[in-house]
Amino acid sequence: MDDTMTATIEPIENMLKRLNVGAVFGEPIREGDAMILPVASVGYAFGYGSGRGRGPAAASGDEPEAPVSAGEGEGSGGGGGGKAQPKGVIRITADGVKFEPVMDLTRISLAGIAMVAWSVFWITKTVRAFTGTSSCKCCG
Amino acid sequence: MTERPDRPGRIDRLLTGQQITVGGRTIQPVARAGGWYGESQAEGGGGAAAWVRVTPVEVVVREADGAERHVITFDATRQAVRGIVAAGLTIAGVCLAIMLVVSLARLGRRPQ
Repeated sequence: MDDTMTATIEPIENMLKRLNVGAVFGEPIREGDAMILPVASVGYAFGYGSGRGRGPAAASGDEPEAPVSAGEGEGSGGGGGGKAQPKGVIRITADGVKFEPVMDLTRISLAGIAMVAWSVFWITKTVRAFTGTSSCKCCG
Repeated sequence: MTERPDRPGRIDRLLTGQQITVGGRTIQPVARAGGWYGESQAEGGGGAAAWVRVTPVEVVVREADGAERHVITFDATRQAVRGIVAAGLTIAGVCLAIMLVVSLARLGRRPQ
Protein backbone atom coordinates (compact mmCIF):
# COMPACT_ATOMS: atom_id res chain seq x y z
CA MET A 1 0.00 0.00 0.00
CA ASP A 2 1.18 3.53 -0.78
CA ASP A 3 2.32 5.24 2.43
CA THR A 4 1.64 8.74 1.25
CA MET A 5 -1.29 10.81 0.08
CA THR A 6 -0.53 13.56 -2.34
CA ALA A 7 -2.38 16.74 -3.16
CA THR A 8 -1.24 17.58 -6.65
CA ILE A 9 -1.15 20.99 -8.20
CA GLU A 10 -2.77 19.78 -11.41
CA PRO A 11 -6.28 21.07 -10.59
CA ILE A 12 -4.82 24.56 -10.10
CA GLU A 13 -2.89 24.41 -13.36
CA ASN A 14 -5.99 23.20 -15.17
CA MET A 15 -7.98 26.04 -13.65
CA LEU A 16 -5.36 28.57 -14.75
CA LYS A 17 -5.52 27.23 -18.31
CA ARG A 18 -9.27 27.84 -18.33
CA LEU A 19 -9.07 31.42 -17.05
CA ASN A 20 -10.60 33.84 -19.50
CA VAL A 21 -11.99 37.36 -19.67
CA GLY A 22 -15.48 35.95 -19.06
CA ALA A 23 -14.62 36.09 -15.34
CA VAL A 24 -14.68 39.89 -15.39
CA PHE A 25 -16.53 40.92 -18.56
CA GLY A 26 -20.19 39.94 -18.63
CA GLU A 27 -22.39 39.09 -21.57
CA PRO A 28 -23.56 42.10 -23.62
CA ILE A 29 -27.01 43.39 -22.61
CA ARG A 30 -29.13 45.51 -24.92
CA GLU A 31 -30.61 48.61 -23.28
CA GLY A 32 -32.58 50.63 -25.79
CA ASP A 33 -30.22 51.79 -28.49
CA ALA A 34 -27.17 51.00 -26.38
CA MET A 35 -25.34 47.80 -25.65
CA ILE A 36 -24.07 47.36 -22.08
CA LEU A 37 -21.11 45.23 -21.12
CA PRO A 38 -20.86 44.72 -17.32
CA VAL A 39 -17.36 44.85 -15.88
CA ALA A 40 -16.22 43.47 -12.51
CA SER A 41 -13.07 42.33 -10.78
CA VAL A 42 -12.81 38.91 -9.24
CA GLY A 43 -10.47 37.52 -6.62
CA TYR A 44 -10.39 34.16 -4.91
CA ALA A 45 -8.11 31.96 -2.89
CA PHE A 46 -8.28 28.33 -1.95
CA GLY A 47 -6.19 25.52 -0.63
CA TYR A 48 -6.39 21.83 -0.02
CA GLY A 49 -4.27 19.16 1.54
CA SER A 50 -4.18 15.63 2.73
CA GLY A 51 -2.06 13.50 4.96
CA ARG A 52 -1.64 10.06 6.38
CA GLY A 53 0.22 8.94 9.47
CA ARG A 54 1.04 5.87 11.50
CA GLY A 55 1.56 5.37 15.18
CA PRO A 56 4.67 3.76 16.67
CA ALA A 57 5.80 0.50 15.23
CA ALA A 58 4.79 -2.72 16.94
CA ALA A 59 6.84 -3.45 20.06
CA SER A 60 9.45 -6.10 20.29
CA GLY A 61 9.39 -8.78 22.98
CA ASP A 62 12.02 -6.90 25.03
CA GLU A 63 9.58 -4.07 25.89
CA PRO A 64 6.36 -5.56 27.24
CA GLU A 65 4.82 -2.15 28.11
CA ALA A 66 5.15 -0.78 24.61
CA PRO A 67 2.06 -0.82 22.32
CA VAL A 68 1.57 -4.07 20.51
CA SER A 69 -0.30 -2.60 17.51
CA ALA A 70 0.28 0.49 15.43
CA GLY A 71 -2.44 3.09 14.81
CA GLU A 72 -3.05 4.61 11.42
CA GLY A 73 -5.04 7.58 10.26
CA GLU A 74 -5.55 9.80 7.33
CA GLY A 75 -7.35 13.00 6.54
CA SER A 76 -7.85 15.64 3.97
CA GLY A 77 -9.47 19.03 3.74
CA GLY A 78 -9.79 22.16 1.79
CA GLY A 79 -11.20 25.61 1.90
CA GLY A 80 -11.53 28.76 -0.11
CA GLY A 81 -13.13 32.10 -0.49
CA GLY A 82 -13.59 34.78 -3.05
CA LYS A 83 -15.19 38.06 -3.90
CA ALA A 84 -16.41 39.87 -6.95
CA GLN A 85 -16.74 43.64 -7.13
CA PRO A 86 -18.55 45.59 -9.82
CA LYS A 87 -16.28 48.08 -11.57
CA GLY A 88 -18.66 49.63 -14.04
CA VAL A 89 -20.19 49.15 -17.43
CA ILE A 90 -19.01 49.69 -20.97
CA ARG A 91 -21.71 51.51 -22.88
CA ILE A 92 -21.62 50.99 -26.61
CA THR A 93 -23.75 53.42 -28.57
CA ALA A 94 -23.76 54.81 -32.09
CA ASP A 95 -21.76 57.79 -30.73
CA GLY A 96 -18.97 55.66 -29.36
CA VAL A 97 -17.76 53.36 -26.62
CA LYS A 98 -17.21 54.64 -23.11
CA PHE A 99 -16.56 53.17 -19.70
CA GLU A 100 -18.87 54.27 -16.89
CA PRO A 101 -17.27 53.37 -13.54
CA VAL A 102 -19.18 52.32 -10.45
CA MET A 103 -18.06 54.06 -7.26
CA ASP A 104 -18.10 52.23 -3.93
CA LEU A 105 -19.45 55.13 -1.89
CA THR A 106 -19.18 53.25 1.41
CA ARG A 107 -15.45 52.70 0.99
CA ILE A 108 -14.86 56.24 -0.20
CA SER A 109 -16.89 57.66 2.72
CA LEU A 110 -14.95 55.56 5.24
CA ALA A 111 -11.66 56.69 3.70
CA GLY A 112 -12.88 60.28 3.82
CA ILE A 113 -13.88 60.04 7.49
CA ALA A 114 -10.52 58.48 8.35
CA MET A 115 -8.78 61.23 6.38
CA VAL A 116 -10.68 63.98 8.27
CA ALA A 117 -9.78 62.40 11.64
CA TRP A 118 -6.15 62.04 10.52
CA SER A 119 -6.03 65.67 9.37
CA VAL A 120 -7.60 66.97 12.59
CA PHE A 121 -4.98 65.02 14.58
CA TRP A 122 -2.03 66.46 12.62
CA ILE A 123 -3.36 70.01 12.42
CA THR A 124 -4.11 70.04 16.16
CA LYS A 125 -0.64 68.68 16.89
CA THR A 126 0.91 71.38 14.68
CA VAL A 127 -1.11 74.20 16.23
CA ARG A 128 -0.10 73.04 19.71
CA ALA A 129 3.55 72.89 18.64
CA PHE A 130 3.23 76.38 17.17
CA THR A 131 1.58 77.89 20.26
CA GLY A 132 3.80 75.92 22.63
CA THR A 133 0.92 74.33 24.52
CA SER A 134 0.35 70.66 25.06
CA SER A 135 -2.34 68.77 26.87
CA CYS A 136 -0.17 65.69 26.88
CA LYS A 137 1.26 65.11 30.37
CA CYS A 138 4.27 63.20 29.09
CA CYS A 139 5.25 66.06 26.73
CA GLY A 140 4.90 68.76 29.32
CA MET B 1 8.26 8.69 -1.32
CA THR B 2 10.95 11.30 -1.74
CA GLU B 3 10.17 14.79 -0.54
CA ARG B 4 9.30 17.18 -3.36
CA PRO B 5 10.33 20.78 -3.04
CA ASP B 6 7.71 23.51 -2.92
CA ARG B 7 6.78 24.84 -6.32
CA PRO B 8 5.54 28.36 -5.89
CA GLY B 9 4.50 29.99 -9.09
CA ARG B 10 3.50 33.48 -10.00
CA ILE B 11 0.44 34.06 -12.12
CA ASP B 12 0.68 37.00 -14.46
CA ARG B 13 -1.24 36.61 -17.67
CA LEU B 14 -2.92 38.97 -20.06
CA LEU B 15 -6.24 37.51 -21.15
CA THR B 16 -7.80 38.54 -24.43
CA GLY B 17 -11.45 37.80 -25.04
CA GLN B 18 -13.44 37.11 -28.15
CA GLN B 19 -14.33 40.03 -30.36
CA ILE B 20 -17.86 41.38 -30.13
CA THR B 21 -19.21 43.16 -33.19
CA VAL B 22 -21.84 45.84 -32.58
CA GLY B 23 -22.98 47.97 -35.50
CA GLY B 24 -19.81 47.62 -37.54
CA ARG B 25 -17.66 48.30 -34.50
CA THR B 26 -15.56 45.50 -33.02
CA ILE B 27 -14.89 45.36 -29.30
CA GLN B 28 -12.33 43.08 -27.70
CA PRO B 29 -12.08 42.90 -23.89
CA VAL B 30 -8.69 42.51 -22.23
CA ALA B 31 -8.13 41.44 -18.61
CA ARG B 32 -5.17 40.58 -16.42
CA ALA B 33 -4.90 37.54 -14.18
CA GLY B 34 -2.46 37.77 -11.31
CA GLY B 35 -1.68 35.85 -8.16
CA TRP B 36 0.28 32.98 -6.75
CA TYR B 37 -0.02 29.24 -6.53
CA GLY B 38 2.08 26.55 -4.99
CA GLU B 39 2.26 23.10 -3.57
CA SER B 40 4.21 21.29 -0.92
CA GLN B 41 4.71 17.57 -0.75
CA ALA B 42 6.33 15.75 2.12
CA GLU B 43 6.46 12.31 3.63
CA GLY B 44 2.91 11.40 4.54
CA GLY B 45 1.01 14.22 2.86
CA GLY B 46 0.91 17.40 0.95
CA GLY B 47 -1.09 20.40 0.02
CA ALA B 48 -1.62 23.01 -2.62
CA ALA B 49 -3.03 26.52 -2.59
CA ALA B 50 -3.70 29.34 -4.98
CA TRP B 51 -4.66 32.99 -4.91
CA VAL B 52 -5.98 34.45 -8.13
CA ARG B 53 -7.19 37.93 -9.00
CA VAL B 54 -8.67 38.80 -12.36
CA THR B 55 -9.04 42.49 -13.17
CA PRO B 56 -10.35 44.16 -16.29
CA VAL B 57 -7.73 46.19 -18.18
CA GLU B 58 -9.34 47.70 -21.25
CA VAL B 59 -11.47 47.11 -24.27
CA VAL B 60 -9.92 47.51 -27.68
CA VAL B 61 -12.36 49.24 -30.01
CA ARG B 62 -11.88 48.91 -33.76
CA GLU B 63 -14.09 51.26 -35.71
CA ALA B 64 -15.55 50.40 -39.10
CA ASP B 65 -13.01 52.73 -40.77
CA GLY B 66 -10.13 50.75 -39.25
CA ALA B 67 -9.30 53.21 -36.47
CA GLU B 68 -8.35 51.55 -33.19
CA ARG B 69 -8.58 52.97 -29.70
CA HIS B 70 -8.32 51.65 -26.18
CA VAL B 71 -10.98 52.30 -23.54
CA ILE B 72 -9.36 51.81 -20.12
CA THR B 73 -11.56 50.17 -17.50
CA PHE B 74 -10.07 52.02 -14.53
CA ASP B 75 -11.01 51.39 -10.91
CA ALA B 76 -12.69 54.64 -9.87
CA THR B 77 -13.04 53.65 -6.21
CA ARG B 78 -9.36 52.76 -5.92
CA GLN B 79 -8.35 56.01 -7.57
CA ALA B 80 -10.55 57.99 -5.17
CA VAL B 81 -9.18 56.17 -2.11
CA ARG B 82 -5.60 56.66 -3.37
CA GLY B 83 -6.29 60.37 -3.75
CA ILE B 84 -7.63 60.58 -0.20
CA VAL B 85 -4.62 58.67 1.17
CA ALA B 86 -2.24 60.92 -0.77
CA ALA B 87 -3.98 64.01 0.63
CA GLY B 88 -3.69 62.61 4.16
CA LEU B 89 0.01 61.88 3.73
CA THR B 90 0.58 65.37 2.31
CA ILE B 91 -1.16 66.97 5.30
CA ALA B 92 0.93 64.88 7.71
CA GLY B 93 4.12 65.81 5.83
CA VAL B 94 3.33 69.53 5.83
CA CYS B 95 2.44 69.43 9.54
CA LEU B 96 5.67 67.59 10.37
CA ALA B 97 7.67 70.13 8.37
CA ILE B 98 5.99 73.03 10.19
CA MET B 99 6.65 71.40 13.58
CA LEU B 100 10.29 70.83 12.61
CA VAL B 101 10.74 74.46 11.55
CA VAL B 102 9.08 75.69 14.77
CA SER B 103 11.31 73.43 16.89
CA LEU B 104 14.46 74.61 15.09
CA ALA B 105 13.39 78.25 15.46
CA ARG B 106 12.86 77.77 19.18
CA LEU B 107 16.24 76.08 19.58
CA GLY B 108 17.88 79.00 17.80
CA ARG B 109 16.24 81.55 20.12
CA ARG B 110 17.16 79.67 23.30
CA PRO B 111 19.61 81.78 25.41
CA GLN B 112 23.11 80.29 25.87
